[in-house]
Amino acid sequence: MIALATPASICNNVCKVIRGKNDEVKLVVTAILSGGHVLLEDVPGTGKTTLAKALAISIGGDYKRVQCTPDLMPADITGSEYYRPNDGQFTFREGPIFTNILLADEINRTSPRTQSALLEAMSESQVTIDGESRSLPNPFFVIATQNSSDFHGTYPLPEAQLDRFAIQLSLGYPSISDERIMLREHSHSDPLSTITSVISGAEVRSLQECVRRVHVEDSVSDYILDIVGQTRMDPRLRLPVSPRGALILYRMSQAFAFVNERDYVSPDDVQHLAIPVLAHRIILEAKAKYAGGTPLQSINDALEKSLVPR
Amino acid sequence: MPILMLAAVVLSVATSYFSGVGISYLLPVLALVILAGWISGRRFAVDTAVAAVMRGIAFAAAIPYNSDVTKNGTALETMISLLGLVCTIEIAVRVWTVQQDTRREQGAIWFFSGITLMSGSIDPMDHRIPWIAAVYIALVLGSTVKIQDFTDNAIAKGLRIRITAISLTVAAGAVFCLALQTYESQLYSLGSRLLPNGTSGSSSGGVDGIDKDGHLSSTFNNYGNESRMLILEHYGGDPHLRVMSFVNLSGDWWSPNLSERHFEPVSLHSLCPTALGSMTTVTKLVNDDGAIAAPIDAAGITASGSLSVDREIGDPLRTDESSPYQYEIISNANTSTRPLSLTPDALSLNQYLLIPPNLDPRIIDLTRHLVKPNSTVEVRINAVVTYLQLHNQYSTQFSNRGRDYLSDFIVSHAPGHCEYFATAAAIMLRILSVPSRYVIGYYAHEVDKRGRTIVRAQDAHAWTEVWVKSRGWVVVDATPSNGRPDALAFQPNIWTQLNDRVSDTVLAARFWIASVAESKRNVLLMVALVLAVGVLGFNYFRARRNLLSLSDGNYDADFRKTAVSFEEWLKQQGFQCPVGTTWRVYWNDILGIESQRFAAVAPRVERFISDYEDARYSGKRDHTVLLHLNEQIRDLATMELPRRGNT
Repeated sequence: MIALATPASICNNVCKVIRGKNDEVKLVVTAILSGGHVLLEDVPGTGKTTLAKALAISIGGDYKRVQCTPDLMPADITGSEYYRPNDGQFTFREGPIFTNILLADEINRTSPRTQSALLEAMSESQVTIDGESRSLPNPFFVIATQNSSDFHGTYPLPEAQLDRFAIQLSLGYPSISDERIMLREHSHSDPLSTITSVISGAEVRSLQECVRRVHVEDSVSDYILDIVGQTRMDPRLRLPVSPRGALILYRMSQAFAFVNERDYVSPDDVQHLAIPVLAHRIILEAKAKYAGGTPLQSINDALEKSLVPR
Repeated sequence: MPILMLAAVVLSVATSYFSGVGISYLLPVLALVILAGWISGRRFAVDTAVAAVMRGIAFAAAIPYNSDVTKNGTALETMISLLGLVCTIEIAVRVWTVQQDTRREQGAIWFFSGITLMSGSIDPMDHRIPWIAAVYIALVLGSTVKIQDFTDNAIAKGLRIRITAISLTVAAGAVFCLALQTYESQLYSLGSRLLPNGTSGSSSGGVDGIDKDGHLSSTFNNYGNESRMLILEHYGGDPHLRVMSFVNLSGDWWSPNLSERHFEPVSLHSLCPTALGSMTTVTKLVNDDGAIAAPIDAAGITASGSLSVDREIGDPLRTDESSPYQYEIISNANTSTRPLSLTPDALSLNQYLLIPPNLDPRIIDLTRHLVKPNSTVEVRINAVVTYLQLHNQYSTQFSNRGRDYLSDFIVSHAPGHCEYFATAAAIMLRILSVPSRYVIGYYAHEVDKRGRTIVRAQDAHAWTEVWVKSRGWVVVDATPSNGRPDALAFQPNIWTQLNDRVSDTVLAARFWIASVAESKRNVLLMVALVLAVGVLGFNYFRARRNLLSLSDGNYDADFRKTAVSFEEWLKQQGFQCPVGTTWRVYWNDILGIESQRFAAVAPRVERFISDYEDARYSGKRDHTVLLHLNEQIRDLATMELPRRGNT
């Protein structure tokens, strides 16, 4: 018997390392299967990097990591042409972005210029260096982590960049019992060293194909449009959900149904994903912001106003 | 529901206990189930009734293939009792599972259907098994099919459990058949052990076994005192039905040497019909070779059907009677002029005059002084009967074992029962040179409402018969009238009467089936098959019709109706689902508030929501699921929930 790789097997593997975060892990796996990128936002020390590494190990492909610092240059990520004096030629040296999984750690600590170097890569799976476009490996996805921007020495991600992340998640603190388990496990060895790859890059590609075949009933896609439409009618929002946001919510819902072993999308999936997928895409009017409004609240309002198809 | 289930079990057990044999308790159980279904509005009432009818047909169809069932009352009753038990368990299981899991319920139904049908055909080696299997499968489909079985989803889901259920059923059926066969062979060996010397007949006249001293034990037989043994239609003769006569009266009076027990056919004068040309039909109901013998050699009466009581084998389970015997009266000649049963020649007549060698001499003296030496046979008989009835009390409550019973009874006037009177009379008549014999049999006194004479085990009786020249064997019943079974008999109680009524119906069906020619029995199975397929088809078309009536052609609108009825249910519970919240989320919220109150329905609601979503969002566009979903809502609506708490 050949054990087929399933979304559940990836989740289980990652959960061996990250304790008590099953829902978040599931969302990250969902994002990967939908072909989206993940932004993990939280205070330091909550396991963002560990999650990214565990995920990268679980998915057998290439894995590179970039530690983003203020002095990181775009070419440090994409790679560059350099002159070889021996034969007088320019040769391209691939940067860390030529990989299956790129972990951009502390992405908001690097300059906006470097951040935007990821833009093209994330939306088009290619980079253009010196006028020459180069395709990135398939699958390609970015797991970026960022510390909450209230900390010193950070550059908030530009809106266009944020819109390219399928979901933004925060892990939060674990429960006491999970933390106790974590302490015990870390006392002997690093749990990261105990897990192995459970799925190959090719298998991820085939799963991504499956996700695209998950059925979305017309009423459910109308529901997605309804939610998105509600944000556009919300006077508190300066920047409501973009069509790309709607598309990603659609694709993520498919992936989430697939992760939950269903071949159709239910409104529950949409509701479950609305906040992680949409909240980071919208920007509040200054007035609403200072009145105490949050993007989360706006999305919740939109959900309440949209009719669940029945 | 569990209370009703318990009541069904208790009632059925009680009924079977009071009725002797377990046929009649099927009726009250069935009635109870229908009642329970009526009260609770559950769909299984109808299902059960349909299944019961189907099963009955198949059972009846399978009967002819089992010779033991057709030809042997006891085996039939055993099986019907077991059938009743199985049905009771089935009903209990159905009542139990109907609230939990439809698939489990269906599995149980198939399982019990199979057992029931298999029990109709005990012999697993029967070459007609394919037929039985065909009927079984049709029966299972026909009686258990539900509307949702016709949807793609359900078929896919149910396939595995169907296969499992059918294989389980076959296995269980085989085990059941094996057990029943073992049980039968045990009965057989028991019968052989009880009845050595090639005698046949296991019970009559209160004789049903041999104790360790080689004496016949005199308890009543195994069939229950009230159960019917014979039904005589158009019978108007002497109530004394002879089963066995005894020539040699040596030894203890109720334990004559078994080898000298004589079977004589029921004497002609026992079957004295009322009118010329009428038919006396004798139906034997229990497995007792002694319970019937027939005057096949008698002049003036012809018997249809053959009678053979196999004395060599003596197998109580292998008698050949399979249908009632009919005796047509072609001559209504006077009893006194009719040639009677086999006339003993002079030599054999002498046997009936032998006196036990160790007989108390006081008895001989006493008897000889009762009559003058030259008195007629009638006078002698009268003298003996009068003497015994004058001096002896009838009683079954006494103890004088281990002494000389005859002396106690005749000389000391100890109390005794019919066997004492009969033996004493036989011996005293022999002393007076009247050829006589001790006879055991039945006293047929009970006439039911339909004018049939009913012989029950409790009618067992013993009497004396004397040889009167020119009249043959004449009954001399020395037992006082207060000791005869008609005086002692208890009126059949209501359960017995109910039981009789049901068993009459079963008998009629059984005899009808038995009368069908061997070659035509397959036709019977075919009919069962066609009926089963018919029910299947009917259910299918009913499902289709319901489906068509349900849908108004608009897929979304149809679902909307179902959604509204679910939300109505929620509203009845005091909740209104907001438009922007999914049912699942909202239901979890409700459970968070009132988990206690909804504990019983929570799995069902969750299943409904899953099923609904499964149908609604999966793009299968299958209307049939709606029937299933609506049924689930109806089920929810019938469940009683605790009142809303103060919280």
